[in-house]
Amino acid sequence: MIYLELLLGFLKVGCFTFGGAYSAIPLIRDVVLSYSWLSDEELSYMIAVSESTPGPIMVNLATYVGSSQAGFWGAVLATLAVVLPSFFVILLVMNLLNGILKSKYAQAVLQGLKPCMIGIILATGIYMTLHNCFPLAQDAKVDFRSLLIVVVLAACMAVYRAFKKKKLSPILLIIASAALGILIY
Amino acid sequence: MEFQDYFPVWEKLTSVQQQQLKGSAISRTVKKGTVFHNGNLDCTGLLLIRHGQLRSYILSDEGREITLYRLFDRDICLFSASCMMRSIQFEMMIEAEKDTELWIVPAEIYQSIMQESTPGPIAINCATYVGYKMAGMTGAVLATLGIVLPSFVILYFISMFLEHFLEYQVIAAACRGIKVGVSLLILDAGATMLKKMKKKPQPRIIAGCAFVIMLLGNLFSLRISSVALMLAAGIISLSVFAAKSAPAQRGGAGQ
Repeated sequence: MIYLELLLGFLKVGCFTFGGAYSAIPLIRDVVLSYSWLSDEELSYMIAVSESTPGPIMVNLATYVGSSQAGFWGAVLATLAVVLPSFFVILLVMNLLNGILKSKYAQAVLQGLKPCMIGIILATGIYMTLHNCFPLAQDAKVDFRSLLIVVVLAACMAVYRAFKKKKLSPILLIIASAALGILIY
Repeated sequence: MEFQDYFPVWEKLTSVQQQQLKGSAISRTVKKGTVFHNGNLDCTGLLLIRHGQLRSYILSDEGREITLYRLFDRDICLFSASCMMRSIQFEMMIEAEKDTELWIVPAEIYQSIMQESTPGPIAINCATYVGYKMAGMTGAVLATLGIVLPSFVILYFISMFLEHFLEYQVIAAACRGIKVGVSLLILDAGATMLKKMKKKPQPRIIAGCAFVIMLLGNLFSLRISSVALMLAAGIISLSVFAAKSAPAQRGGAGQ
C-alpha cells in the first residue's frame, strides 16, 4: 500500500518539523530511506530541485517524492500529509490549546526537541558533505572534484559573510554550485 | 505606557520569550530630520514608536520622494515586520519628522520567536492563521491550499521530466554541483541554529548526543529513526524538568 505509506511517512515529517526548512531535510531523508523509496543519490537531486523552486522545501519534497512513487495521487497525498499537522496545530492553538504551548511541561519537551534537532541537522550535513567527497562504495576513490567544489563554495560563503556582513542567499549558492558542477565535471 | 503594552499578544508569550523581547529591545532617540533607515540597508528591526513622528517613503525613478505612510505615537511599523519574512523587502527610507523616541527589537530575536511558536513552515502557519481569522474554517482550508498549490503544480511537472533531464550531461553535472551545495547549506543551517542555541549544559548534551548517534548511524548505515530520537530527547527533557521541580513542589506543600 504505497498510498498509505506515503500518507503515514509524510504525516510523521509534518509533525516533527520544528524550526524552519532545514529541519525537514533530515526527517524526510530518514523517512524516504527507511521505506526505500529513493536512493541517497536521487534524494539529493530532489533536494537540489526543491531548494531552487519556489515554496517551502518540505512541501516541494513531499510533492516530488509522492509523484515519483505513485503518480498524481501520490503527490496529492504526500503534500496533504505534510501540511495537515501544522494546519491542525494552528487551528487547535487558536481555539483551545492557548495555554498548552505556554505550559511549563510543553516548554520542557520543546527544550529537549530543539537541541536534538540541531544535532540531527549537523550530523546530516556533515555526513552528506563527507559522503560526497569520500564515497563508501567498494571501488571508491576520494572524489577530488567534489572536494574542490566544497572548498570553493565554503570559501565563497566565508568571504561573502566577511565582506557583506550577511549570509550568502541559498539561491545564489545553489546557482554557484550548479555552475561549478558544470565547470568541473 | 510600558514596553509590553504595545503587544496585544504579550500574555501569550512564554516568560523566556518575554525576557528575550524585553532584554533585546534598544531604546533610541532620533532628532527631527534624520533619515535613520536607508533603503539598501538590512532589516533595522521591529520599530515601536513611543512618541514622535516618522515618515516612510520611497524614491521614484526621477528622484522624487513618495510618502508611503506616517507613524505616530504607539505605532508599530508593520513593514519592518514584513522585512523579517525573507524575500519581502522594500527599498524604503524612514525619516523622523519630529524628535522621536522609539524602541527597536532586533530582527533575529523577533524572527526566532516567530519560528519557535509552532511546527511547520512559517508560510503555511501564517496562511492557516490568517484564513481562519478572516473566514473561519473554510478560510483556513482555502488559504492553506492556496499557499501549497503553486509549489505543488511546479514540482509535479518537474518530477515528470527530471529523469529525462538527467540524461543531458550538462544538467547531470550541474546537479552534482548542487548536491554538494545543498549539503553545505544544511551544514550551515545547523551551525547557525547551534550558535543561537542557549549556552547551557542540558541543550548542549542533548545536541551532542543526537549528533553523535545520527552520525554513527549514518556511517555504519544503521537505520536510526530521527523521529524516535527526537521523542526520546523530548521525554528526557520533560523528566529532567519534572525531577527538578518535584522537590520544590513538595517543599511548598509542606509550608
